[in-house]
Amino acid sequence: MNDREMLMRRLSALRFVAWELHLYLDTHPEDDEALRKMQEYEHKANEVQREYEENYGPISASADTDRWSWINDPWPWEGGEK
Amino acid sequence: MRIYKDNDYEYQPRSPLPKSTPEAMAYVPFQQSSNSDKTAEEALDAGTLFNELDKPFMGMRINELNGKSGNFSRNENMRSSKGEAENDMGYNNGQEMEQDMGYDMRSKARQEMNNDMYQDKNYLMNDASALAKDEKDNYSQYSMDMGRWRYDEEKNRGYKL
Repeated sequence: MNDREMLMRRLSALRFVAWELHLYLDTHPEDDEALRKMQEYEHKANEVQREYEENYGPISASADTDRWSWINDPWPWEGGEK
Repeated sequence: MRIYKDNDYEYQPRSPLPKSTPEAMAYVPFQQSSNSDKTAEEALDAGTLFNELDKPFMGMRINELNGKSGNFSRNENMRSSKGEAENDMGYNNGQEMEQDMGYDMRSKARQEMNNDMYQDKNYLMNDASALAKDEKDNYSQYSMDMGRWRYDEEKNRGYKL
């Protein structure tokens, strides 16, 4: 794994955990601790996403960029998200 | 975001199963706990953040696990129904049953791998509170170490971890 892949993996992990907690809260809405954790993970994931996008370009078309660069290679099927 | 409090949202804790369970219907016990001792990347690998839901596929028949040595412990929050399960299934004690079922072998292996790697280092993230601290360099370091270690391990073992 190169640095880019590691950062992407890190981002995937943080998003995944935030979503896990989101799903958990759907059935356990009274759990303040889980809510706090979810917000922390989301915050952290946003930070990492910002770092990734600053270094390697946008992840989604909705990213804040000055040009339409999210179509740049490599795409996932070209080894972009190994 | 709205946080539900006792006074504005009457929340009834869910029991594992409904009171009434008509015959011939299947029931999935409700998740009871949000306990987790996984880092984000471990959660991604395991496919779940929660200890309670971490049920690794062992790929073996139960009798193939017989006789394997080791002290496999189940997660803390799964212990409640253990006594009943032991009796139901004719085991003499919990440890015997756990070994038989191969509970948490993968979790344990994962834990050991981490321990090996981070024995003398303090940058392993344990939970969200650790996340809150400034660890910008640390998580990058964690990722890189993990990646390199994984690459080496896979090379040595000759298969994907």
